Amino acid sequence: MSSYVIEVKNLTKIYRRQVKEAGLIESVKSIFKPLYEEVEALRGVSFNVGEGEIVGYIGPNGAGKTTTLKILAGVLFPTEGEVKVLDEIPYKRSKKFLSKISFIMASRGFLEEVAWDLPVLDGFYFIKEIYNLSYSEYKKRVNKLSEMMKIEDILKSPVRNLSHGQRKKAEIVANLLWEPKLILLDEPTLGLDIFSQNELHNFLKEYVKDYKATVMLTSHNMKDIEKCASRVIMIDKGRKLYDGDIEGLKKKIFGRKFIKICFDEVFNENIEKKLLSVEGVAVISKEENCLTISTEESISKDVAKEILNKYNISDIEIMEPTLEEVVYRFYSEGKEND
Amino acid sequence: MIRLYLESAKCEVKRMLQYKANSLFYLTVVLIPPLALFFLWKTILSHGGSIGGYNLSDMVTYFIVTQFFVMNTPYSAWIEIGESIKDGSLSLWLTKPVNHYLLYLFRLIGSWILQWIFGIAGVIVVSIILKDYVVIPKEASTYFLSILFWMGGIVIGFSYGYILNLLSFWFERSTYIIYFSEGIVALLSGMLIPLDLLPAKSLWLFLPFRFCGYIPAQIFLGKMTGLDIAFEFASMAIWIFVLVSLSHLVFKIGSRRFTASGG
Repeated sequence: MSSYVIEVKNLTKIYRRQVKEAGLIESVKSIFKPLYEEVEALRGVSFNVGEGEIVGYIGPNGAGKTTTLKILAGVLFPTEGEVKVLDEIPYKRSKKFLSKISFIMASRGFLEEVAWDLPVLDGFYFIKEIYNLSYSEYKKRVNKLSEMMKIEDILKSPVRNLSHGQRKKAEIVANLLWEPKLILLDEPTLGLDIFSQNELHNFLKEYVKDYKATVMLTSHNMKDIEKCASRVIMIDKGRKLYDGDIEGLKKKIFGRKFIKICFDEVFNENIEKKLLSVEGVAVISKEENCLTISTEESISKDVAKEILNKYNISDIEIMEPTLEEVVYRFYSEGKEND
Repeated sequence: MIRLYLESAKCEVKRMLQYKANSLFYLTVVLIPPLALFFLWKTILSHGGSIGGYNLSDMVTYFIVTQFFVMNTPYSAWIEIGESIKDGSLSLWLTKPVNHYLLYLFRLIGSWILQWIFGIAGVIVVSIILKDYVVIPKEASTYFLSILFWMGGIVIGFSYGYILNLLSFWFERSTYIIYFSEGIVALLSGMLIPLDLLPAKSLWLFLPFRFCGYIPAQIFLGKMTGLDIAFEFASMAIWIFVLVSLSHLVFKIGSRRFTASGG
């Protein structure tokens, strides 16, 4: 038995898709001679995920994130490479395997599929039958998870009458009723307001702690990753670019800290010039009487001290770059290097 | 495990109850065609004779029964099955420990139950209107056997429609193939004319679509002996086995090609 929940080795996925020039004549031509192109969605990706980890799987649109999740869930067959999830080969889709995983998709919901016109509880009950849960166990889990997710008041409402956020929360509860060992979450906070996002982050962390589940989540919302994940895997164009903790990524990309200085009065160019004369200092942004600079991590404290001694300032703050800034820089630098 | 599939049918019944007006409207669909066919055959057989052993009473009863059976046999299955392959929502079921074929069979039965209830009500109303022309069997076993064969016809019709929907794994759109085949099945099930009146009848009487309408109607009319029924039952069991196995095989091969478009 493997010590990892997910083992991925040299995973490659190539799609064949039809391409067609615009226009009527081209459409007629394509009937007789269809043209196809091959798309390499994943190219030799390898990683392992251990029990209880929450891994943020990030990358720009079309990077291969959802394709990876679909392969891990057994929906897609890999073209090359080895994939093992909970000691099973996902695409064989054994009942044992499917009873231990949950794949929560970004745009399609199970409740919408089976209970669109019915109360949320009817959709939950269907899940109970799929996973053969006893009634008492089912009742206990519905009560507990609904309370954790704060959806008790919508359980009797038809799914079609719920807001997007309520539907998403109900969908997540529905997908956890059988207490899966592995949760594959695709864009969990897409379209949710900040309150719902926070509730979801707290729910997820609490759930993983309580149930010792493993989570792999993709998101374009870096708050999801920062708040929930302990580890991040970055991919682009089907290749893995980084695998490690968030702090390590920040150090790798920036190795710098930000200092935001607000002066008593509007700062002048002389101050800016003097600051820039210190080696390793760069101006990030300027706004009225505030200036944000970046410094190398090793000298950030000294620079802050010097500013405090030399200038009349109303506020000073040493900040770390946000994950969003790190990721943006990571991928923009990658593009420049292309 | 069967409870899971019964629950899926129950969900569909509950869903259809939200749209009961549709099912009520279906009553008119059941009523009008047999009445129209009655006037047609009354004109054809006005001299009081018969065609191929069918007199006016046989014809009227045949069409009432086959119209009900064939129109209530899901030979086009659910277009949603093919659509779910195209739009990627099939992923929702591929990640659940369920048998996709059984799930959709039961969902479909669930979604048709109300229609069947209204359909039976329609058959009773038509039979009362045409009481002088309808053959009413006296033995309970006739009703039982007709319904048994009709249920077999449902599995056959569903499997056929299911396989056609699965063609979406290979083709951009299988919807047109399904629409085209609907017309073929309507003919080959005996809904438009008794199969034994068609040329090359041995071919049509070999195909499985006869169980969707023609055979249950023949049993209802008392035109089959016990031996015929036993032979047809064995034949139906073989066809069910072949089509169900083929459904699973096509799903297994097709799902390897599934691209799961969209998030």
